[in-house]
Amino acid sequence: VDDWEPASTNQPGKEFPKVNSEGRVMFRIRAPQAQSVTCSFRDSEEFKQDEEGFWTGYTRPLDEGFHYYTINIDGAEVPDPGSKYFFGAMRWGSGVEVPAHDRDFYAVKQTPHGQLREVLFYSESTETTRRAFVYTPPGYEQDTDKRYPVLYLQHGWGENEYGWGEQGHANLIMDNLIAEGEARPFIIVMTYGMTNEVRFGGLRSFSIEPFETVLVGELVPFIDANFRTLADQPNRAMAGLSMGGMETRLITLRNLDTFSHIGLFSGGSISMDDVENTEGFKEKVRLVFVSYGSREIDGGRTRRGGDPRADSEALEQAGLNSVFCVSPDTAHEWQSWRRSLRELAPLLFVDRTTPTN
Amino acid sequence: VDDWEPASTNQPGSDFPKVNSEGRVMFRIKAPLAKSVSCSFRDGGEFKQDEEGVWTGYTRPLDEGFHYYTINIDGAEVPDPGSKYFFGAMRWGSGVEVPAHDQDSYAVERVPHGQLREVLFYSDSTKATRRAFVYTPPEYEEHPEKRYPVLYLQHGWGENEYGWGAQGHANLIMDNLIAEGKANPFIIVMTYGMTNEVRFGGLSRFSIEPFETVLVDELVPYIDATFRSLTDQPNRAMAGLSMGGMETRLITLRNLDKFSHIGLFSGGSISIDDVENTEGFQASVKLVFVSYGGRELDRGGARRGGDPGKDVEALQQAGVNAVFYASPDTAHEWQSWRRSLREFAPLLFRHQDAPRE
Repeated sequence: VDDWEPASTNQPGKEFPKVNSEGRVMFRIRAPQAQSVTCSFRDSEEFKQDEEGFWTGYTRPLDEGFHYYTINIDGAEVPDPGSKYFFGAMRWGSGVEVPAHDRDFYAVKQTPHGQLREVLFYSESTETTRRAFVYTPPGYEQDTDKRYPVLYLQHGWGENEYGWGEQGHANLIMDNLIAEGEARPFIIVMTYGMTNEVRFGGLRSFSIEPFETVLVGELVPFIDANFRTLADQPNRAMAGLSMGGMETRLITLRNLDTFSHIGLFSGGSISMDDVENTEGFKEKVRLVFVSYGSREIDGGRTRRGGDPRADSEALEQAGLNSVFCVSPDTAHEWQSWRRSLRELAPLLFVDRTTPTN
Repeated sequence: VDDWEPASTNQPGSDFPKVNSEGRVMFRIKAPLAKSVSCSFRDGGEFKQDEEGVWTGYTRPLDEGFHYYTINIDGAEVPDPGSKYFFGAMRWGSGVEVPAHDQDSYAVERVPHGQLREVLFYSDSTKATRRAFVYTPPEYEEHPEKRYPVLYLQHGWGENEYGWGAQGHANLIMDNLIAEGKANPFIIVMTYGMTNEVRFGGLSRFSIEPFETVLVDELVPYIDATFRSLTDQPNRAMAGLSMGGMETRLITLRNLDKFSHIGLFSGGSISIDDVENTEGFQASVKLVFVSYGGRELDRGGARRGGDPGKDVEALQQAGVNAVFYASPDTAHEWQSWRRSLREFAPLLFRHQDAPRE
């Protein structure tokens, strides 16, 4: 279909890559002396060179939303000079946005906006100064006597603290939900989850303790000291995508005196065994939110085995506030996680009586 | 000299590019099928390929500090996959840091840190939501009754609102100056100066009015409404580098009821003619700061003609608080401008009659 438009993720003034209504991406790369140019999307059409040295290539139709990619020029894996750069897949490199039918919920609108703050905090346990991005909601600057709940929100393997802001548009999702009255204002804290020292496939050797120490032992106190937070367990949530979901599950289950709301996006689930084996689970936990892209659970089960929908239903039957969400027609990718945040946020810190037993 | 170290501007886990104590940069690019690989630095050595398809190349000794660059693979101008990316030279692309003998002034130290906030403000004149980065000093959160002066700080042509934070380390320079007691705490606002629609060399067609409207009529009121700023003329400064200096000169001279301190970094100067032709100059202006890289002034004058040192002397003789600074052994580049900010900040808002909380 010939309705090609420059992607919203392109560099200023750059026409390519372009996207069409089928979700195909068209690349155009100038490489006059190159023998071969390809892209990292599987099942793409072969790039062809024209007389002026431009190589043009097309992908298959892709899912809605954001995709990491690289270009290969004569064996060199390089970023596309036409796109902006994002940290994912273990490197700063190209990304392309395929416009989603529901992209309105992360659009920049004429609403009051929050602030996305880069803060530096010293970590004794790692003897380094670390970075976190902190979203403060609209009104935070003006309502100086008001204190806010906090969501600690983690990225996945191969990503970093920039992910939820840049790829995820967490700040815009929140600005819009708050403007529509669908979520109460809260603070979001996004730091590096120490995921990337683990080689892909080496999860078995991953220990949660170093990051747990940074998050619970160092970052939470820093945030409570430097922002107007409600610093008690009912007002603290944690969520994460993929490996960040795995970290969320481990850290929350070990720290239910600190966290009361749990969100796992394409990152595992919580079973009745977890509930029964974790002291005080039913009294302390106010929400368990589990989500997946629909294509991750085709046939009912996830890649790793396990049935998160069944887990979620079992928790519900046991009287827990348990929610299961499926993002239609998406897989293990950012559109699933943007939607997950959009579904999770309105459920957080909502006034309710004590959780039912 | 064989003391090669990975550059501080590299992607996590990337060994290359490397830098040695001569200031040379060594690149290593895997491009097995390529016929030629080169970099954008002039007078560099030719890249040579080894049996595994890895190309190695070296630069001449470079100035201390930060440099933009690209890699060329068979005619394709692409970013180096080993470096992080910065917006300059009209594109997001590679940068490399050559360690400077005075790099301590922008190092991450164990001092209280400010916050670098990404804010979105609606601009009626451009019918767009625009981005600004706002640095709030370390004590900002702890003194909710205190108000602060504001510096509006502009980037150069081919750059954008990210420049002063990412390349310039403005936040770290300020954190360190404040910790050493050398500068008063103040707010810094960094927005896109609308420089890049002008073709290089087309400056004579540039009109300051669109950006002046955004800055003075839209951004200043937004900052004054959103942050605890001191909103009177004695407490508002503007500075900029290169084309941002040119913009600063034009905007301040037309708005001396709003700005009292002027900083031009490699971006022109203010002559005694400017003083005499601008109503109320002597009464309104509390500081004129003009700086250049030392090597920009070889042969006495600046590239565009004019003698900024002499201009400053003439201002001093006329009783204006005018300061001239030349950065040793640097040219039209970021090390000159980091140093300029470091020299300029301690001079700001020192007037005796400034309202202080």
